[in-house]
Amino acid sequence: MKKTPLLEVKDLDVRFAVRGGDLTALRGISFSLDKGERLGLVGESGAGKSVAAFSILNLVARPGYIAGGQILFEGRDLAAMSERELRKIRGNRIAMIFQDPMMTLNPVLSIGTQMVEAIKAHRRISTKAARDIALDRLRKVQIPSPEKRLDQYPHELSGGMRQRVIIAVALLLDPEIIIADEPTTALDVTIQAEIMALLLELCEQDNVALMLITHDLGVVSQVTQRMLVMYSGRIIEQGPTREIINDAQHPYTQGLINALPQMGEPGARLFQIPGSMPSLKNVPTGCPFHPRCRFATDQCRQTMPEYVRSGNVDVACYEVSNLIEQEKHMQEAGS
Amino acid sequence: MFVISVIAFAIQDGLGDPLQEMVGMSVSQEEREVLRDELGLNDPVLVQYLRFAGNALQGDLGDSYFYSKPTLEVIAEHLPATLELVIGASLMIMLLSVPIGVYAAIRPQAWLSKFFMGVSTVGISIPVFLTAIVLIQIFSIGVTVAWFPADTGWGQWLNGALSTEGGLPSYGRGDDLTHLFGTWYSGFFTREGLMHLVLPCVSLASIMLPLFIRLVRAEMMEVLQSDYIRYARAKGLSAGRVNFLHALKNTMLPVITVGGVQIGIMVAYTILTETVFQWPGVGLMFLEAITRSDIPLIVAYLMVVGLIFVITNTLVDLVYGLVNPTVKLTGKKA
Amino acid sequence: MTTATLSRWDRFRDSFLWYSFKRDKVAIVSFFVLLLMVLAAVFAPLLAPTDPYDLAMINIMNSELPPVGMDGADPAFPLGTDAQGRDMLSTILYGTRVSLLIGFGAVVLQATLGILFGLLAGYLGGRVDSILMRIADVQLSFSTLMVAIIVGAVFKASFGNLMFGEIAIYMLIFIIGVAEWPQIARTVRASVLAEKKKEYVDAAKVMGFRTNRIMFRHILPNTLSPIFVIATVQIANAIISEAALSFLGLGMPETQPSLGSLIKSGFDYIQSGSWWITLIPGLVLVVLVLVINLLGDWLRDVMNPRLYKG
Repeated sequence: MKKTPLLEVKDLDVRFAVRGGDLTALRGISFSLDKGERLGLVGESGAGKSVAAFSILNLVARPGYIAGGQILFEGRDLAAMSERELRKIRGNRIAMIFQDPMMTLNPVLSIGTQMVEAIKAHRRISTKAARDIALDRLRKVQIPSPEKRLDQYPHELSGGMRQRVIIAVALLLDPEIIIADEPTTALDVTIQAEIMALLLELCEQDNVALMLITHDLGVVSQVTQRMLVMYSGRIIEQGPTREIINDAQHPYTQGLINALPQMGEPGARLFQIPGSMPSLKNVPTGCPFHPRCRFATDQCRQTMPEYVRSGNVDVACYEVSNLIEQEKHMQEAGS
Repeated sequence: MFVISVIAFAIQDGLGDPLQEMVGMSVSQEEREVLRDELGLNDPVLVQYLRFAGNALQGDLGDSYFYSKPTLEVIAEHLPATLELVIGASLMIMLLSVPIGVYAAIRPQAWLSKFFMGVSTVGISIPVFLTAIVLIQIFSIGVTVAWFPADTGWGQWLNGALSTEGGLPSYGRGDDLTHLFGTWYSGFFTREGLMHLVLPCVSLASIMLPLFIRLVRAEMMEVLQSDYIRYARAKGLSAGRVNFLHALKNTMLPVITVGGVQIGIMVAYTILTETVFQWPGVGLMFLEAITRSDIPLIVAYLMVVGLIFVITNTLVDLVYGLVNPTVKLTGKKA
Repeated sequence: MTTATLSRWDRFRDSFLWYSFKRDKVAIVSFFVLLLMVLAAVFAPLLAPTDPYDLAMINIMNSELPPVGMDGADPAFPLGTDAQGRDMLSTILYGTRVSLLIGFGAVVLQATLGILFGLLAGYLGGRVDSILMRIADVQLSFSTLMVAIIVGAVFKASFGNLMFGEIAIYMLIFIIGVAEWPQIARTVRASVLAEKKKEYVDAAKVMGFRTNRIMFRHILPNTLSPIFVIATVQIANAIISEAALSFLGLGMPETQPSLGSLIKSGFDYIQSGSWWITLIPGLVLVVLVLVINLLGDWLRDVMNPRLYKG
């Protein structure tokens, strides 16, 4: 029997209540995360990656709300939990790292205050002891002169340092899962690799599960073991990272990979996926990717394909399922 | 510090203008002879201004025609009354606007929030003197309601419930004032003094209160949308700590800045409030000075008001610096 | 001509403005109340039972009569009479007329000044900008009401009571217009600064248009919607300012009353129990200002949600 995963999301629907009806931001999202596993979540901006990340801790900003599905953490449904119980999990068992370190730390509170309050929200210990933990984590993220930092305010730190502080905050209470929402996007290119390496190292060290949201396929292929590809609020492909990067099944994923600079010849024009992702207001019928897909058929335009398994990868695409069918027929005919 | 000096300079600039205007215009008056002697109007404007500024620096703003004593002395006698009015009204505004604004921001859909916002929209449209008049009618003169038949029990009850006795003083500061120091006689320490303060303070507060509620609510709602608030929640902090520490502290920064400016505007409204309640403060004094064409007193009033602006602006900057760590008080502004 | 207006009407009916107006009950009610009051004010000479400016029609014996429904009321004066025996209904109709006239006039003046200075400051920048905005800041920190009171006091002192009374309407329009121009100038300046960065201005410059033409033909139309919103609210402010000035005795004389001077004249009699002289015009004033403010709020929501961000 397969052991239950640490986190299991089942059929998650998230909607935004706006004037004139609801907009569906996430539809039928299902995935799981094992202890110590590193999962990548990729897609263009607007695909719903961040919404997915925030909905796990039920932190989707108003007017968004979880309309259906389950988020099982150690068998308990976070989506159905009271705010009080959720609070015990947030920051404690599941920590988050936000995208923009400039906006994430409260400008009017010192670093120390913001770290200590996070500890004291979950542990009954003295401020002194909490400060010691904070200091230890700041050392762990290799911040120069950590003692000084505790009494400083966010504006006195550079962007890279602030993101280190935020990683330190995430580590404060030794969580099981860290959800990192594009943790390096807002940083200088030179610092991005440093921060990513640090995060990877710390997760491996403490066997923390990492859910990494990014649009950078390069990072995903280096850091994660499994990945999900999202498009217009749906997961269209998920499986082991290496398998998807090497042999993507879904035309959209193929497009993403082909668009990477190193894939083309030097000097050649970069590949582009024609068109752009539909806005939430007018999601096309059927497969949301069909207007941009060169394989699109009438079937694609009418109904959303089910997931099919190809190797270890689950894909939602009629083209792929048709190919698999054909192969089966050929094999049957051959045998 | 640089900012403050600019503000101070600007206000001095502003004060120079009405003064020159006033002096220039007054020449066409029948009082021209008196004025020429008193103010030395035959001199060029610049000389007059320099002489005026020089005297002002030494604390000499001339003598009032009507009171026949130094204008600053006259103002010093009237200023405490106005200050108490402003302090009382400011306290009311602070104590009411912050809780209401915060509540309306946290629960924008709640019935009570909508009620408060509706009332404040209506409140903005009511001129302060009208509020004052209505308050006088209800709480000072009293209203006797006889709309319901008095021969039935409920009719009598309704009539009684809707009628007010009145009796709150609506005129002056009362006689029972405590002498603090100098010319400061305070109404804060006696029952009679406080009773006299109630209606004027409520009136003065009523003009700013809706504005502040809207301001606090708007700022708070914006702050609640920010990343650091979501992050604070993601850390598992309690709603109370998120709302009242993380959000409120950031909300107060713009509120303090705007609030400082509003105090200046409040000074203008003291003129109206004091007129309605015959409150013996500088506003009423100023208006009387206008009707009596007591020009030195008018000028002195404007100078003092300008000074009050500079002082409040400095105070506001100081408080802002204390709350906001990104501003260093060592003179350089971040 | 007819087809042009018709298609314009059709376009208006299709517009977002009309759509959101239909959906907003508060806006509809406010609009009709305002329309009613404006019409009543415009046609005051036809509607009013008596002419309050005509001294011959006033009988002092009729003074301080209460409104209909109270003891001692005279049905000839449905809202009662004031201390001089003038019919309240008539004086209020005429008073609303004066108040509205001053409100609109002052806003037209301040919009002219504000647009001109705001465009200059925003487009030319540099020293012109800093001088104009310095003046605006000083005026705003003094508060517009204070400036109006000071200017009013100076004018009254220099013209004398009688003469001031005769030209009071123009004086008040001037005073309030001058006192409140910074509000509009700042809004215009902020939108000009935003518009200036956009490409079409560069394009116009490249095409060699003169500064004046770029300012008025290209930038101004794009700043109109915030100006429109501000101007609406400013009408309400101007009416309140006028009322405040009149209440302080710096505005309309009692012989030619505005709502503010009606309230003032009634206030002297409130202690003797004649509340209607002051409270009825007060109520009219509040309703007038309230509906304008509500319309302004609605316009702001519809036309420019980011107005306050400047």
